[in-house]
Amino acid sequence: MPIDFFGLIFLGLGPGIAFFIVVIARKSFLVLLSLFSAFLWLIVLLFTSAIFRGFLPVAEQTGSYAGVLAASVVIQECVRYGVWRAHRKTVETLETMARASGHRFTLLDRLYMALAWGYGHGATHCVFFFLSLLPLTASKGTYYIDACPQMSIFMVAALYSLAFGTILACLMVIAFDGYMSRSPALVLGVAAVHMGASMLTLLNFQANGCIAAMPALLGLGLLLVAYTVGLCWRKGGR
Amino acid sequence: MITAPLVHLDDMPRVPGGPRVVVAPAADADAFLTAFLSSAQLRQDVVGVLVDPTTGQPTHQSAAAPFPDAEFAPYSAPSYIWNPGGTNFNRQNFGIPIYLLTAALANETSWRAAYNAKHKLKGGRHVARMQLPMQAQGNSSRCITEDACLPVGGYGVWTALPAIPDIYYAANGSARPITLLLAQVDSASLFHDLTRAASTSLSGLISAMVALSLLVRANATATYERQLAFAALPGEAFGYMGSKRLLYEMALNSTFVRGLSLDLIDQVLEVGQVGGAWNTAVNQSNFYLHTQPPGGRFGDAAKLLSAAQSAATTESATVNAEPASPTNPGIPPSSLMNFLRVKPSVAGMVLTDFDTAFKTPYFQSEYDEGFNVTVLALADAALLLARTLHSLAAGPATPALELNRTAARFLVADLVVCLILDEPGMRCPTAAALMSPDIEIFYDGTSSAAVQGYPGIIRWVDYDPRASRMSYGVRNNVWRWRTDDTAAGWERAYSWPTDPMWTESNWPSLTPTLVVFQQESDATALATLLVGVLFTAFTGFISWVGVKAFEKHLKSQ
Repeated sequence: MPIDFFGLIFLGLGPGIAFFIVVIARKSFLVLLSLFSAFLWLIVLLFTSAIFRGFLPVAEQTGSYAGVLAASVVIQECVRYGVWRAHRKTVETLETMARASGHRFTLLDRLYMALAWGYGHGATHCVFFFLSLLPLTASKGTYYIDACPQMSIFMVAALYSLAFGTILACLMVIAFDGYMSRSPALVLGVAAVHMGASMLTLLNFQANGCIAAMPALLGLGLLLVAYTVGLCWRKGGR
Repeated sequence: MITAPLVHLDDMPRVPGGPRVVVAPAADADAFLTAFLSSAQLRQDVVGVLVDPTTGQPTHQSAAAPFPDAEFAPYSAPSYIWNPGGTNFNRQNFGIPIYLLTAALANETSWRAAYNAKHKLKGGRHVARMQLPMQAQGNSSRCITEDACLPVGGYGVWTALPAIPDIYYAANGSARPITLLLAQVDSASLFHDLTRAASTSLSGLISAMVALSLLVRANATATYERQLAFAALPGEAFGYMGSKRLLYEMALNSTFVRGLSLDLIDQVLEVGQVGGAWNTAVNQSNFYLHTQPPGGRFGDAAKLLSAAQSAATTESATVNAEPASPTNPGIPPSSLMNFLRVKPSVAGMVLTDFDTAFKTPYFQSEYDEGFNVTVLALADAALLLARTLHSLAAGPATPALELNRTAARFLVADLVVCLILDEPGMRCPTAAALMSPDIEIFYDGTSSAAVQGYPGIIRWVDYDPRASRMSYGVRNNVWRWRTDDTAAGWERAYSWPTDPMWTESNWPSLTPTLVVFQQESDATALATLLVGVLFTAFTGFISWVGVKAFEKHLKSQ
């Protein structure tokens, strides 16, 4: 029903859009960087799906899906490192050019840029895994699977979008911080959390598993937000 | 457009209250619909009924009343039960949509209703959306005027044996008295388009047609002292439209009934339901002869009775005919009732397979497909009729009738294939040699030439039935006839019961429809919207506060 459609948009994408308007849209450079990031991660996801097209149909079992997810996360973590390398190179080049006129990037700027990269990452996941389903809710029906009679698949997708939007945005900031301070713990931690969160979604296969999985993911998102805010609070002043 | 959750009939007590669409197995549908009509709670809660025929056929089902059209009877016994199992649904106003499901939809609705019952309609429940906007409003008079409906009706056929030589036959003095044979051709049921008429009327029609064929083959009709005539009457399930119209046409002396004058008709023989006459246990067909009791104001049918009984005896040991029980109030519901109303002096007899109550469990039903009709019964009825008619009409020069049993069975089988079976239906060789059939094409592309038990609607009317079908003069012609003083006067003269106007509404294209799908409950959708808006506003607010605080924090460093 149309009310379904608007409800889910507000739930899944509303907070993300509100955050974008309030935080990222203040600096046009960040907007451009977010868009570029989103585009890049879209290519990565399409690339991953192109690989797995050869394995279709994937058996609807936890094991098979775990394999697909694991491969996807590994690919994304590798690309994350590549993004960091390219980003650092670009920033160094820009800084060299800017030093001539006496400007340089502050740590806050770097954190903002990391946030933009992360926001693009999260936004692409929202579009890829949630927005693509949304037009179906504009007409009369909905769909529930047997394993999760508590919420429709569209609701699960909206909660996923909300959770992973926050998780991925925060993870990118933490990862960049890890790369910048050369902390392997942080970098590996980021990869582990990404893998863990993805595997957590497999809980949806279990009967009534969605009641545990989705709040857990939302909780994880909140935890990461707290950690990231703390991180920026401490380091932003320098 | 009506949308409501699907609930199986058996799950009704377990599911919370509120509007629902009930999925009822065909075997329990009649009981449920009867309960619906009398229960205020059900009338409030149930907004639609889906009948599932795949779970099994009811053992008896009849949409007619226990005494169908009792007001037409020449006697008063409205509580006598001719049709046990009759629910009278044909005359009820249900006020809700009732669908008969196809196999695919029956499959879909059953698991969806089971899901609803398991989860007690919480969360995403499966609903049925029914869209059936009728164009007709109010009653038949109003919708005919507004061109939003068309009248129910059909065309009857009559013939004479031997052929009437001269159109002024009835007027000049040499006219012979007429023995009229009657048969009904169609029926009615709750689901009009799905009406089957095998035992209700086609059994009688086939027997009559075969009897006449046998008489023609016997080649003795030229020597008859009486004129034989046969009329096949449509629409008898709708207030005896066909016979009433025939009688009116005869009163008007219209072109359509030239040669068939009511003045000349003094014997009327009707063949009703005869399909169930064959009794395998005793290897015999048992027929019953219904007449009005002698000594009343109606014609004496003794001659007809004795002709039929001696015909049965002559025929063979397998054909048995006896008068119906004297405890019956009179003749069963039949077209003969109308002849007796207009000309009580007529000697009338109805030939049936039942004695005190209908034998067929599917009188006026969509299940009347002919499982209880046997070729042996119809063949025996045809032989009995042929011999009876022959003996009634025979003159001094008429030879004895020789009938071939096997030939009768072949003729019956031929017609059964055309009229009762779904395949080939009217594409059978016998019919194909005479006409091109009406083919019905279904939504899934299959086609059928099966005979429909429902009389259908009349799209075009004209005084001449051979007129072009392009003149859609229904509205004007119906009103012309309704306000015709002659008709009203004639009806009053014979105190006919009130004449209802039967019509079928026009529908917009692609309706009615039924869609079953899973729908989010309104509460959940609304809650999602509220929570979503709240989260969005909250995130925006917190982010803005956060940014401001962060900037202040930076400045203070």
